[in-house]
Amino acid sequence: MLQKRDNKIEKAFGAAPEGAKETEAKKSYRELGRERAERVKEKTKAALERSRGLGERAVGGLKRIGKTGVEYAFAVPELLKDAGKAGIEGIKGLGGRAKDWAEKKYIGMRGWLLENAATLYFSNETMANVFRDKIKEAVEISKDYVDQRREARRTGKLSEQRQKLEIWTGKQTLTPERQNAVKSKILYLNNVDKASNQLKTAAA
Amino acid sequence: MDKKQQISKIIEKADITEETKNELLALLEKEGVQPDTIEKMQLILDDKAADIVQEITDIVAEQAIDDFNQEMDGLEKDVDAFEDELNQKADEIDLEETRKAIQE
Repeated sequence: MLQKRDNKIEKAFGAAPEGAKETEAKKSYRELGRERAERVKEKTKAALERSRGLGERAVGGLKRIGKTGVEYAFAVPELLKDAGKAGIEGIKGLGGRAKDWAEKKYIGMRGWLLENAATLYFSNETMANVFRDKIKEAVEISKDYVDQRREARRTGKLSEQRQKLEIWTGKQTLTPERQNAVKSKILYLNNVDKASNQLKTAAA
Repeated sequence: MDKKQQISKIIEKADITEETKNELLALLEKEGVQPDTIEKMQLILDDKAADIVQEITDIVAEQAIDDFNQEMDGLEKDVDAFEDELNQKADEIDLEETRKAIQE
């Protein structure tokens, strides 16, 4: 990174003759005066560090949104707030044109967030809400099934209960592999129900 | 065919796992045909059914997690691109300012 920066500085001093680029660059430094050149270099270094700091702080919170997993889905609104705060603080650390540019860019980014991420997370149809609802629904379906199975068995409604489950799974958008896995499990559930019914009949 | 044999036959013919069959047959062997034996067997099958339904709903939940992760991956890529652009542009601005300072 430092080498890249030095190359850029050399380039800024003007085109160097072929094969003598380094020498010409050093000459330019000497012409400007060692002390002044060092001061400029320090200023550049500090500015670059600030710039990188801006990048890191501005997106630090945002990047965390990109992390996957259930806990993040539930923490997203807070993360967005953190990201906004970090971004604004990062911009404050800059000065002059860099600040102007960063503010403009950040406003654009914030716009993008509002348009995409915020809409995504905060409206009733957000991805996070859809995700949470889907997990919740799956848990409830499973719980209801267990709660109601004994009664369904006693009243001879195992088939009805299974069909209800089948209808629910049929409404899910699943990969073909998952669809097949679900079908296979429902078929097996049918076998279990059948065995249960036959035992009941035999006992009668 | 007595009741025990009849029940044993039903279990053996059932299209369920060997493990479940063995569990039911072991109960039958241990208790014979008592008034609550069938109910106990049905409770075992209820547990098996609950496990299956749990597995089904897990599949649906896994799909939801994958879908969500995919969205998040897209978001992370956008954020990474933003970070790169932000740092690159800030470097350019600083270098330009440096060039100006050198020329002064």
